[in-house]
Parts: sequence; C-alpha cells; structure tokens
Amino acid sequence: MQQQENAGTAAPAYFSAGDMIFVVAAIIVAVLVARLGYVTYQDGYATEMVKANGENFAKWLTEQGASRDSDKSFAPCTGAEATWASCREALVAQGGPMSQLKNEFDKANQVFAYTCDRHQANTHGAILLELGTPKPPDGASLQYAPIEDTTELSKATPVRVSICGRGFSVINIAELTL
Amino acid sequence: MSTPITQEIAAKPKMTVRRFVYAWLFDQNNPNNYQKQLDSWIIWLILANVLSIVVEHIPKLYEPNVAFFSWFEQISLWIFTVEYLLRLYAAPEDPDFSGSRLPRLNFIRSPYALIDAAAILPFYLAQFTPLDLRVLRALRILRLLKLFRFVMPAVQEFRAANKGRTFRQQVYALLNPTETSGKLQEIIDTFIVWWVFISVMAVILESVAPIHYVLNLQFIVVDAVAVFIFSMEYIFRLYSIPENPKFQGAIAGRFSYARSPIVVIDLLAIVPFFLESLLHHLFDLRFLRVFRLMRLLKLTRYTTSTGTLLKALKREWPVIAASTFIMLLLVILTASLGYLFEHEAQPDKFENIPQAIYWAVITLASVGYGDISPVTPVGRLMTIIMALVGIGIFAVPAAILSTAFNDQLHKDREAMHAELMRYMHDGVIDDDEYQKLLREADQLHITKDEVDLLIEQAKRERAEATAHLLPIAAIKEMPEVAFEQFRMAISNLRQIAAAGDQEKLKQLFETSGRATDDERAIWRQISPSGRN
Repeated sequence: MQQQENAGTAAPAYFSAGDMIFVVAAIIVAVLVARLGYVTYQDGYATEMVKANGENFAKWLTEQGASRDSDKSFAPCTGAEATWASCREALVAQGGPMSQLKNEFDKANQVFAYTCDRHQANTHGAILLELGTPKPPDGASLQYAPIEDTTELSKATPVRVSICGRGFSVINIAELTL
Repeated sequence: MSTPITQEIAAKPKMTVRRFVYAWLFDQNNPNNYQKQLDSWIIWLILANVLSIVVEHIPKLYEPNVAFFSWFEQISLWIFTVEYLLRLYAAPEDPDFSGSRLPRLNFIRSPYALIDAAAILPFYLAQFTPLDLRVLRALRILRLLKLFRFVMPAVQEFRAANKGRTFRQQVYALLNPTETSGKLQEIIDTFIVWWVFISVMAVILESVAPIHYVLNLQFIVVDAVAVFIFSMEYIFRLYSIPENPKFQGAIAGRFSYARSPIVVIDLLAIVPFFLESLLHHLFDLRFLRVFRLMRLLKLTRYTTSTGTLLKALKREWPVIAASTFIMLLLVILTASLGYLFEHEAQPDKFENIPQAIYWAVITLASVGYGDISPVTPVGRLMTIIMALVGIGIFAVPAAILSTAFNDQLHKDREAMHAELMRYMHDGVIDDDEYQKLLREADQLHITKDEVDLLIEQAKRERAEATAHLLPIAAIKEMPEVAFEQFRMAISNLRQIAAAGDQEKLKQLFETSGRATDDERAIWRQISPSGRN
C-alpha cells in the first residue's frame, strides 16, 4: 500500500509550517473561486434582467405589430420620419412606452445598441434589434443583420430582438414582425 | 420467497415484531437483512428532495409541474415519516438505546433522530399554525442533514483508523485508497465522480440554446461549485502526494506528480473557469467552455480501463506503428491515383493531391460520404480495388488493439489470481485480504461472485498441490506404490525433525505431554537430537 513508513524516526508533527502553506493556498483559492463565482453569478443575474427587458420589449412590439395596419407605422414611431432612430428615441423618451428601461449591467451603458461589440464596452447589456431579410436562394428562411438608424418602419417588417449578455455574447430573445 | 432473514425469523418463533423490524431494516451487523438497501433508497430520496428544492426555484420548470412537485413532496414526507416512526418503534432493540430505562426517549433526543424530526415536523406543524410557505421550503433543506446518519459512521471509522497520524497522512488517506482510508474515502470518491457527471452534463446541456436560456443562472452555480470542489481536490492531492513513496520530496515529488497526465487533466478541468471569469471582458473565451468536458477524463482516475488500454497500446506499439505506416502508404497511393485519373474530369474536386487525401481516407475507411466520388471508368475501377484493400488494412490496427486490450485484461486477471494464491499460502483468506481482492476485482470489472469462484478454485488448486499422498484405497491396491509412499513420508519426517529448533522440539516431544508414546518413539528414532 502506498504509505510512507516512519519506523525508526521521531514522530512527525501533526501539522507543520509546510502544511500551513498549502492550507493557506487552499483558502485563497476557495475565496477566489467564491468571489469569481459571485461576480459571474451577478453578471448572470444582470443578463437575466436584460433578458426579461428584452422579452418585455419583444412582447410590446408583438402587441403593437398585431394592432396596427400592415402598411402604417405603429403609434410610437409615427411622425415625419418613421425611421428606427426616431422610433428608438420616442420609445425611451420620458413618457415613452420604454422609458423605464435601463441597462442592467451599467446605467451608463446603452439601452439599445447597434451590435454587441466588446470593443465598445457600453454595448454590454444592451437590447439589439435586427432586421430580417429573405435568405437566398429560395428565401424560405430569414437572415438577420443589425437594423440601421435610417431603416424605415413604415410597413410590416420582420425583426429579431436579442440582447448583449455576459461576455458580450448575443442571446436571441424573439423573432417577430413589426 | 425465503430469504436468510426470514429463515432466521422462522428459526426463532418467539421473535417479536419489533425485533423483526429492527433485524430486518436497521441492524447494521446483519449482512443478510435489508439495511443497506433501505439506506441506499433513503439517500437517493434525500438527493431527489434536494434536486426538487433546486428545481422549484426555477419558475419555468416549476410552474408547469406544480402538481408533480406537490405529489413528490407528499410521498417524500410520508416515507420519511414512516422511516422515523419505524426507527422510534424499534429503538428498544437498538444496542445504542436498549441499555437505558427509556430507550425511545433516548432515541428522540439523539442527534440523528433530531435531524430526522426537523426534516418532517415543520410540515405537520404547518397544519396547525400558520407558517410561511417560504420558511417551510427552506426547512426542507434540512433533509440534506439526514445524510449525516450515513456519513458520520465513516468519519468515526476514519478517525479511529488514523489516530496518531499526521494531517498530511490523513489527507492522503482521504484522497487515495490506503489501508487506513476506509469507507470515507469511497464516499469522497463517489462525491467527486458525481460532480464530474453533473458538471459534464451541465456543459453538454449548456450547448442546447433553449435549455441554456432557461437555466443560465443554475449552470453558473453548478460550474462554480464544481470548480470549487475540483480546485480543493487538486490542491490537496498536490499537498499530500509526498506520502506516496513514488513521489517523495516536498518540491521534486510534487513537481513530478503535477506533470503526470491525470494531474494535468485535473488542472485543465478548472483552468477554463478562472480564465473565463477573469478575462471575459477582454477576449471571447467561450470556446474554453468546451474544455470543461475534459472533466470527464478525471474519471480515468477511478477506472483501470484507460490504464489497460494504454498498457496495450504501449505493448503493441511497434505493430500498430507498422500498420499505421502501411495505412499511410495506401492513403497516399490512393490519393495520388485519384488525382491522376480524376483531375481532368473533376478539377474542382480533385484539384490537387492534398485535397484528394480527404477523399482517399473517407473511401478507405469505408465511410463514403459521397460528396466526392470518381466519375471516370479507370478511377472507379481503381476505387473498387483500393476500397477492398482498405477494408483489410484499416481493420488491422483495430484488431491489434482489441486483441492487445483483451490480453492485457487477461494478464491483469492472472496477476490477481497470483495475488490470490499468495493470500492462500496460509490456507485461509482473512477479511482484510478478501476486501483487498474485492477492490482489485472491482477495478478489473470482476464481480463478487466471480471472486468467490476464484477463491474456491484457488482452494482446490492448493488442496491438489498438497495432496501428494495417495488415498488409502489406492495404496491397498498397489503395494509397490505404498512402499515408495511410506519411504517418502519417512523422508519428509526426517526433514521436518531436522529443520525445527531441536531444543524446542525435544521439550515438546519429551515433556509437554502432547505427543503419544509411538510419536515420541518415532521422533527419537529419526531426529538428530532425539537420538542423543
């Protein structure tokens, strides 16, 4: 059996200074794992909050899309310019339908972003809206690309709501028609 | 069906129902009862309860299945209550309580019974007093403490076996099977193995987007807990390894151990968590998550299968290398011929020889995706020939490996048989030796019944080896053989008499009173000291 025999020598101390080094190392690693785990959990929790915001936004868009005529812009986006940029401003403006939305990772970050980009830290935790276009060659399915500020929302448009989650990973929430 | 325990009851008609319940379900010293099975079921139920508590905190899983969870809770409560009442009822038969005047009261006041009561009482109290549902749910976690009943005896056994040993020796015994490890080490092994499975399952399920979407937070918690457990295991294995004679030396021993493949795997199992947690803002490290599947390789520590395969590979390496070389030649030849015959007809698919190698391997290995196929008559003829040759050549390494693996397993089993014969040297196999054999057998995938058969076989072999005297009936028939047998016996007696301590033998024969007159006379006749 794998066991050190100490016969014929003085009995070793139950706990030595060398043992202490490893015990301290174990405690440090335990604390580090706990701390990193907690931070990761917080990020995960924030991601869940952003997901909930994204789901609410998608639900609201779906309701709005269903209750309007297919050839007209829906209520918050009507105006001289029915573009996504103006619509977005109207949504988050004071008194707007999405005015209560905030970025759950950092209040200073964007609420809506063009793309999820780790080189633009303020996109972390943002909601993304992507425009769907028929995928060639048959057009049976859609391919999505970030919606441009100048994109007009004056008629029924397929879109996808996503969020920029933990580690700048894109999480798809819903696909719908505006 | 008549079981040993029912036979025992039948043999004692005056046995009370209470005694029967205790002997049947709770007596740990009775190997024929159902105590181990009951313990095992209770442990599973406790773990299922913990899982249920976790799942109840996930609304998307809990809300559609409220009825199931309620039903499961009722059943669990009922089983734990019956268990508690049976233990209370049988307490006067339990040696731990039977000595006192009020054994049942003593049972109720015992720590394990208090935990058992705490796991069920709040739910009965809630029927009479208004208790917050959340408090009730929180109290259900107390059921986890019921595991103490099964773990504490192992802890006590470990402490007794390791009394007087250093902290490092104890840590080593906890993490590695040694003579003083006992049941506690098995529990720790099982715990780690389960966490390997849980974390690997989590990694696999994380890749399923709808599941990850719902269980994101739970996956984070599982990963953090798994890394915590594996990190502690890694550090304490590294810490205690100088207790292993192969890795002696505080620095050199540990460094050598840290470089061994299984320990590198242990490290790779935890590193992705730290890298991803610390650097996820800077780099896209999601690919590291796949490396968490390396945790599955941690299981190689707990099975000899990988070791057997590696030994087989090492032993047959020259033959495998030779057949691999032939395979390589065949692949290049096929790819070159494919390029030669098909390039002009299909320049996009057989653009060059490296591209044709893909087609050659897929064809020779009998995979045949069909994305690239020959179209010219000569190319097709060549493919038919090469594919037929490929079937034989590609099968060679697999056959070699399979045979070598089988041989290695056979050798390991023979080594165990040799060990068994060594244990049988004194004619008996004691309990320690039997347990060691069972442990070895477990690693070699041999069942307990097979071990018992091997022991019987070893006993027979030993009996045959020592039974050099002919039976009396045979001696009667063959006087010549009997004569030689007699001479051989006298010769053996002379050897025995000459080999022993003469003074001690003389004392035993002359004064101890244990030898008969005839035996003493024979000894005097043949022994050097007896003649003096």
